Amino acid sequence: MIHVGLSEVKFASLPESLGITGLGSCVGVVLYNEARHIAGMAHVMLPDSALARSDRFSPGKFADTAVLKLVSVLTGKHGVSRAALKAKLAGGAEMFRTNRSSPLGHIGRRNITAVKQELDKLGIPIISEETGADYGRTIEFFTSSCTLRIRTVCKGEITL
Amino acid sequence: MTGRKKLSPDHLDMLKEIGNIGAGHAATALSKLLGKPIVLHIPSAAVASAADISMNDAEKHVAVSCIRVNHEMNGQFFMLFEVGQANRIVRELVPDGSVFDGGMGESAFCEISNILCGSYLSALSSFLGVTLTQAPPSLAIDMEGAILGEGLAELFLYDDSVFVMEAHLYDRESHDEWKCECLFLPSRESMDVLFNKLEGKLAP
Repeated sequence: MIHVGLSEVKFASLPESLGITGLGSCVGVVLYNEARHIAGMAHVMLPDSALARSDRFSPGKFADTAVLKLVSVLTGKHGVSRAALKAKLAGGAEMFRTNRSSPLGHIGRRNITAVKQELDKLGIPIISEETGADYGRTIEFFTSSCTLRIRTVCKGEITL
Repeated sequence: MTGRKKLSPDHLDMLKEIGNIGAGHAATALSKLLGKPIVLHIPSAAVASAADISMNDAEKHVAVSCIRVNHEMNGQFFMLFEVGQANRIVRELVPDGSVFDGGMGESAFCEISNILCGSYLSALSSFLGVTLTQAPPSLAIDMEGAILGEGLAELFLYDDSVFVMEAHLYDRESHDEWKCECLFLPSRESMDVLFNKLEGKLAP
């Protein structure tokens, strides 16, 4: 498995897989092409690059820049047409039981909304998602089957 | 204040000392609460950046209490126990309790975090001469990476610093030991307050 760390964007082709361990309010965004068995995964932490205090940040850190990076590499370097890209999402939880009144607000929910807006703008369909709620997730995307496996501490395992 | 000022080794020594004074207060309070002679060691205290926070053990099952700090400094205090250790210390107070019970066990765990946070803040506030208040704790029990990823989102946004203290609680009678980790994440503005107060202490 190719591990996608905080704020990273990584790509894989057959027979590799991409994964993130311990996803909380962050969102794991997978863009893939079934025919070519190529995929990219971003580990998005925050909703909007307008929040950044400097120009130097990893594109995977923010929802908007992460989606653009995934699309540009898959369509550019790998030559997949944008119309042939599909998306799967997981994460965006709210881990604390009571509202911590964080300055960042409901960060998980905002991350999911931001990722969806960006995909919508680019006309990339979301095939399936397992997002929100209040538990952590470990995810792995298999380029062979184009499925996303999600493991949790108390809700078991599901495959999208 | 603009820009990030660098904490010197002298500043770090003072911060470590504040941690030790806080540990002394906490040991007294925990000894009373648990009815046991508790000693609290801080084997390591350090200032870490977002990049230093290791997510190597992102799937470790942990219980984390988060407490918001307000008034002259703002920030967040986190107390983190591995779930097995958390339940072991909860059972010292509530024999059949656990952090999952949504009742007495959970509130015992939160009370321990109130004590650790309160002790640290009282040391910090008397050393720096600032008034601090703490909000009620919020609890999360799940994978460590998932909880800290959310808890420290602000840290990753601004690339700020966080104080990381390892704490070992030790019962001198039964020789039981519990390990926990405490993180204190001051807001940007509060880091400047902290820096200036520490500078004032160093000035002749």
